[in-house]
Amino acid sequence: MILMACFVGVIIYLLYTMGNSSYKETKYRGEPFLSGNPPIGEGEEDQEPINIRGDNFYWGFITALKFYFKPLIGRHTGRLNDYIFWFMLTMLVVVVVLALI
Amino acid sequence: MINYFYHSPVLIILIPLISALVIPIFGSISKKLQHALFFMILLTTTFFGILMSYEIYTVGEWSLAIELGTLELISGGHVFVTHLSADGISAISAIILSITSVAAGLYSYANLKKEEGSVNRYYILFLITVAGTHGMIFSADFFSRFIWFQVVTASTAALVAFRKYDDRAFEAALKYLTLSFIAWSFFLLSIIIAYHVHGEMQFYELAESITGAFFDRIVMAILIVVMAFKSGAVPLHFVKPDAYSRAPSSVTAVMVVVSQAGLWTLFRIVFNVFGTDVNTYVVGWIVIILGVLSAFIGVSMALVQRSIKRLMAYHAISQTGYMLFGVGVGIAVMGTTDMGSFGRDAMVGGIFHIMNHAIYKGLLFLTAGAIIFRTGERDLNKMGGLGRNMKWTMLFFIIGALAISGVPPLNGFTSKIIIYRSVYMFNPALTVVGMIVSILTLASFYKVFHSVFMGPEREKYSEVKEAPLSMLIGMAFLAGVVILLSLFPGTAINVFVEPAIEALGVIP
Repeated sequence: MILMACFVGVIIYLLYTMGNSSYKETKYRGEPFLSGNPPIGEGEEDQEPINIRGDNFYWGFITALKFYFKPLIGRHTGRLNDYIFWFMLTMLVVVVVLALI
Repeated sequence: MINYFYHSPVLIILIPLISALVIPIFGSISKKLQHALFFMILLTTTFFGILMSYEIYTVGEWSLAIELGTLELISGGHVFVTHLSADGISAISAIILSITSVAAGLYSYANLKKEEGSVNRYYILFLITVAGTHGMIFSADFFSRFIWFQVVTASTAALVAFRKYDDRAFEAALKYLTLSFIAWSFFLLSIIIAYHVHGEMQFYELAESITGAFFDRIVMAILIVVMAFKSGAVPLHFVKPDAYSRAPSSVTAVMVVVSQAGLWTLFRIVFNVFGTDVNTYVVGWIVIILGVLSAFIGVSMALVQRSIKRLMAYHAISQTGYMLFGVGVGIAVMGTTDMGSFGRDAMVGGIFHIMNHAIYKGLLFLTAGAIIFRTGERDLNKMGGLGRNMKWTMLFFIIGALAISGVPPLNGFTSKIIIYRSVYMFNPALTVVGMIVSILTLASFYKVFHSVFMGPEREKYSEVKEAPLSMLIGMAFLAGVVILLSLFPGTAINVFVEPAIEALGVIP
């Protein structure tokens, strides 16, 4: 139990040392913004524009993995010819694999 | 005296089918009466579904052979017989379809009131879809199953294009119809080959003459691809988001179950017809690869969607992946000693996930429909703050979203944990994929939750009201089933999943 507490303490300390030492408390810093709630002490501003919309939700994640998402979205053309191509290709691959084995 | 137990498979198909012919008459008398009758038909079908499941659970399975007619040929007479099979697979799928269609039937009342013009074709097509899906599930020979697949493809495509004013719905229906008929042409080709080689179409008789020779393997390969297409597996999934997103939400909920008929047929083909006569390890890996692709690509595409229903449609594809790689592991170890341990568990997880998925995905589609019904908007970028006005819808959405994301103690968690544990014994990488997909599922449903319900009140939605009562009752019914399955997963597995495993002939 003591060992476990020490281990957790070390982890917390390591995480603490990795923080930004120049951080200073200022207005709005560290306050939640996702939900669109008014900042503490304010409330008269129009909240709609500061609310994060669906498309922007995982913008960072999707941009970082652009090499994966871009070709993936590109394959979903909405064209029937492409749908048929993928169907025929899968059919060919599975038939060949099972016929040969 | 009719033996209702024995004839329940016939009654489950015939009641909605015959009712589809007479229901328009009641529309001219009263719209309310027509909808009440529509709902009663769905309830009656459910009653016979429960009756049949009870009989299968207590007594065991049985099959029926119905002579449809005789065709005089030059070479002599040919008797057309359709075979129906009432076993664990039929029972679980009939129950799933009944629950979803009852909820959709309740839900659609408010939706149909808003539609302009006659809604007769909605009732007719919906009942034909229900009858046809039951027909697919019960038929125990390839030709009958082929006919029912045609019927359901035509009726669901017409339901996708139900809203005549929506040109995108027409486009989606056309794509769905074209690709489906290409797939069914291949299906027909495979059964012609099988009939030519073995002279049989009935599953169990065909199973006796299958040897795993070249043409048997060709037939199996075609059937696997066609059924993977029907269930929406990647890379055969493209038409599903188009169709699911444009169909009325009550129809989409039922379409999820219709697409599962592809999975049930795939299981029948692999376990009951071909069994260990083919290289099950390779077949299992084909199914697993389709499953992994579906799970991962489905959830990735869901993450980048803006339309609420398209996002949910991609999740339906992603969840199909879990079912495929659960059952794929069962196929890969079929006939080995591993089947007695983790192989069987993987099958239990996969089949229980089919049941869970139909219920919570149906619920999620209904919540999406309620949101679109009230706001007229399906773009997540343009929504927000609806949690203030649509509290019940938000609650039902949360239940469905947590269940699909596999958050304990909901039913999605139970089936996923069974799959994770069992596929880990086969290949740990599959469990890692499953867990990543689950995390991404939760992430994308959080995106929907926040975009739709959270945030400041939008001025244009300040007057939006809660969903109509009939919609709320439909959603509450499915949410109640989710909670029941979450509280009593052991009972659900014993009553529905175990008989299905038994019907597939999986050695314990």
